[in-house]
Amino acid sequence: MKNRFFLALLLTIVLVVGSTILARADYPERPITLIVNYSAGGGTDMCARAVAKRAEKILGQPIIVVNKPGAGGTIGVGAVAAAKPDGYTIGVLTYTPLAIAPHVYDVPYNPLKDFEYIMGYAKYLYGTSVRSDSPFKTLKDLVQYAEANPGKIKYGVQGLSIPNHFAMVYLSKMAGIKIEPVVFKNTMEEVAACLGGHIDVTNQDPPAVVPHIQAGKLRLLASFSDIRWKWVPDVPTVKEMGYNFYVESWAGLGAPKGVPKPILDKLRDAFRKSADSEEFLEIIDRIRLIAEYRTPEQFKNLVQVGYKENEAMVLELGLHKSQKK
Amino acid sequence: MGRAEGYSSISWLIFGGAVVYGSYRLGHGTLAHPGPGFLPFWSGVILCGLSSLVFVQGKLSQQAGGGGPLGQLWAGLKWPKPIYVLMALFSYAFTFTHLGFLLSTTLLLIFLFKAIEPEKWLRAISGAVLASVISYVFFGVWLQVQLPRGFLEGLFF
Amino acid sequence: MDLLGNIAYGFSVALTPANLLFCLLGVFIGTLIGVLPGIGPVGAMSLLLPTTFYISPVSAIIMLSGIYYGCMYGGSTTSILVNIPGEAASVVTCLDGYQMARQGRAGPALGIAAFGSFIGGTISLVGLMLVAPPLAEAALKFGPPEYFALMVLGMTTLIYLASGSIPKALMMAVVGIILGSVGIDATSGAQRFTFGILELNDGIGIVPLVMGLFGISEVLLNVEQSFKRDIFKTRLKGLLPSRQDWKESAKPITRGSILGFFLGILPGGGALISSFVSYAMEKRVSKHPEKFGQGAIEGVAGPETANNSATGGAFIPLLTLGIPANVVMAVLLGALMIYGMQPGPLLMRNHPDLFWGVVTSMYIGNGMLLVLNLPLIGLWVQVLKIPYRILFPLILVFCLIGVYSINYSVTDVLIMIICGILGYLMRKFKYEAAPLVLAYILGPMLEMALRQSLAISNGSFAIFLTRPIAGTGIVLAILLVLSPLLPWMRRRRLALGEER
Repeated sequence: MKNRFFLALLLTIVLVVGSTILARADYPERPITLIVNYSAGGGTDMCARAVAKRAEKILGQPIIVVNKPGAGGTIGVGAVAAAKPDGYTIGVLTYTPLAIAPHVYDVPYNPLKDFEYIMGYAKYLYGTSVRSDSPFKTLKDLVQYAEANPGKIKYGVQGLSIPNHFAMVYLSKMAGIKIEPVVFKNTMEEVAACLGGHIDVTNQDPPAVVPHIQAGKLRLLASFSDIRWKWVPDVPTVKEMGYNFYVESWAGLGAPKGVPKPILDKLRDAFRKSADSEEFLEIIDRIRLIAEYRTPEQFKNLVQVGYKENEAMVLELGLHKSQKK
Repeated sequence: MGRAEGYSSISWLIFGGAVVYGSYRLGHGTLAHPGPGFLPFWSGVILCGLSSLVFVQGKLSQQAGGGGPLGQLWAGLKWPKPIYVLMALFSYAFTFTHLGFLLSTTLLLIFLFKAIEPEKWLRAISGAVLASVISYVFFGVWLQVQLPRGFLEGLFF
Repeated sequence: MDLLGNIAYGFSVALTPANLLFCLLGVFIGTLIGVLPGIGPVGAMSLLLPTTFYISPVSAIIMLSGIYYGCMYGGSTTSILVNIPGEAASVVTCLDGYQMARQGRAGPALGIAAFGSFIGGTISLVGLMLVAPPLAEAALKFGPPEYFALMVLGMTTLIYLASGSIPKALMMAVVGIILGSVGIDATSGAQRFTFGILELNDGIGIVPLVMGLFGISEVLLNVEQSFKRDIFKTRLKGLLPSRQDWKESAKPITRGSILGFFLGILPGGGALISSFVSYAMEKRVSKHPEKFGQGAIEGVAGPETANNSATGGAFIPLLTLGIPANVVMAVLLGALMIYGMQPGPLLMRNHPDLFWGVVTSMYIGNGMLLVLNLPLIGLWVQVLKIPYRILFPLILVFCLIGVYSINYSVTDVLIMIICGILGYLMRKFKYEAAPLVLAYILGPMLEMALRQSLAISNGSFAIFLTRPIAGTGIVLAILLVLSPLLPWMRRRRLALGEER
């Protein structure tokens, strides 16, 4: 009697353990959650959904997008860091939450240590524009005017701890001019203010200003990125003009630290293939980002370099969390 | 009413004082360049001023014979009930993600059905389960809201 | 560009079976979302966005727009029935609409809200068609100093929101300003009153705030009562607005339409502000202001019309200039970009089918909504007959899920509950919530506009008076504040005259 009992017990154990082992071998066996750190309908969100759609087919399980917006993208990133590292929760990792925000306030993750990187997939460009009826036809005009009239040029930004603002600070330092930021709550109000003539310069990125440039209302003075804007190819970069800097930001996908390598490899492979898909590239183009695939290693490098570079700027602007009361 | 004015205005006064203190530390700036603490600071000051005014008004009306003790605000009312509801709501908020939507909503509804105006057990439980399932279908499936699955996650879905 | 020709063209696009279907689908979903507390049009639109890839862009925009203004219709329903704003913009409808429901007049309230919304929506569309481009250009002239003046004007209407003690109302306004400053201050980067909680970086959140202050607090208050007494008068006095109701509502509706339309155009303006201002305006010009807050139908007619009119106005900057006037428009902007349509000044020219098709379908949509909503009034009124002991747990659950579904954040849920406690205490001690909410919205905007203006003017306050629009606004505001004093002064003089 006893023997039979133990035999049954042993068999059950073997079956249960065996099934879980077999189950794990078959990743993914249930839907994967992809956390997007910005609101639904925005550029980041649409990109992520596009790349997820292709990856779904490769992985064989639905990828469910969950939006966790807020706090400049840090809440969503934090949710990824805190998730169980079983490969069923991944998320979008963008520049500001990883490279800038941790210097400005306390975030619930360590940008250098808490993530496994899946890939980088897009790059954001930056630049500075003025109204088309403005007297400044080139960046040089603007700089000359600013040299003669310190403090008179007003440029708009939608926050202080963002690459757009940093770019203007770099410019003003290198050109030795004094220009004033006017902070707006969001991109749309800032562009409206520039179009309405209330501020002189706008520093919005391509999605916000290219339509107006093409309609003849705004003029791009310079690209702040390391490449020219492909929609306005005649305008040089600041580097070409002699100011040795550029700003950039990127988007990628990641998972919490500790995801087992076989699962991570599967994810990396699936998403790498999706980043090539027609549909995804089409969307990226439409929302005016630059599609640029980066391997996990390259992306990790970007994060580390970005993190380090921004620390100095944040400290200098007095925005560092250690400088707050 | 007089007493009530007293208590409430003092509470606001304390709140206002805290705001003034907090904003002061944030940085006042100048009138030409207001700092982050500027607006909250002056708002706090005005709040303190107005609370004092209301306090005095309350005292005057009290002397004129109006108003009674604080308890009068709750006279004849079942005041523990809102507290029960609040306790239930807070528990729900804290356990929601761990227990998962279906379970926590069912529990919440059972509690609310029973604790406030007693319903028979059978009706409470069946009503709770029914409502939870319908809400799940409605919100979770049709509207595709991602409702937490809780610890049951690995087991069923 | 012949207007009638364009309208005809637009209808030819909008009246295709496919577009009619999508219009219907959009307004239907919109109404549903509007009725459900918490989830707003942004959430619904974004959920449907991916599925719109498979249909033509025009149909997609028709549907998404339908969701938006459908939401405005539906939002008033729960405000009236259970004092929960289904949409942040419907907060004002709670003030008098709910009181009407408690007096057995839920039907007329819902009816006038539906009709007002229809009229407001239609008038704003007429405006959109006739004056869109020049108006949009004019809206651009509103820079930070003008916004500041506008916010000051808005603040002065606060006083009219209060039915009770003025000092207490002012206190609530100040509290609203303080609550509005919670979060990261964009201008300086400082964290204000966030206590290290990351979710508070963006502020408290208007939706959890109003749902707690109005909805949850109402439940808490009702739960204290014995349920033997009906919370709602069950004997209903008719389902539709009476002739008297119509007479009283006619002017508020007219005023609301115009007000909402213009406020909706301004980026950052919008439905919420227009509904508050409309309420204050109605109370100010009313012959019996003391009835407001007790179930005055003007308090429903004006604001509801205004907020629907604002939705029409909000389309103008988007369709003519490519600048979204609020977050919902921003989602549409994103959608347009994804479809490969360049939002911007060239949209009208390059894609006339989109512009005119969408505008004409909005007429159709408004009509559909009216037809949809009127019969539903009978249904909604039945909801009130559900015994409160069963109704209130369901209300609570819907609120909890609704708030959670906005950001998937438990913090929002907690904020809502805490605001519920606050609202409950406020009602007990006779402090009003409406001034708090208006100040909560206007305060940060006012502050930001002030700092932006000072940044532009290098610290000089003269900028507010030297710019014509801003200057007029400030003067108007001062006059408005002083105007109640005039009759007072006259009485003093008369009294002094009599004494001699």
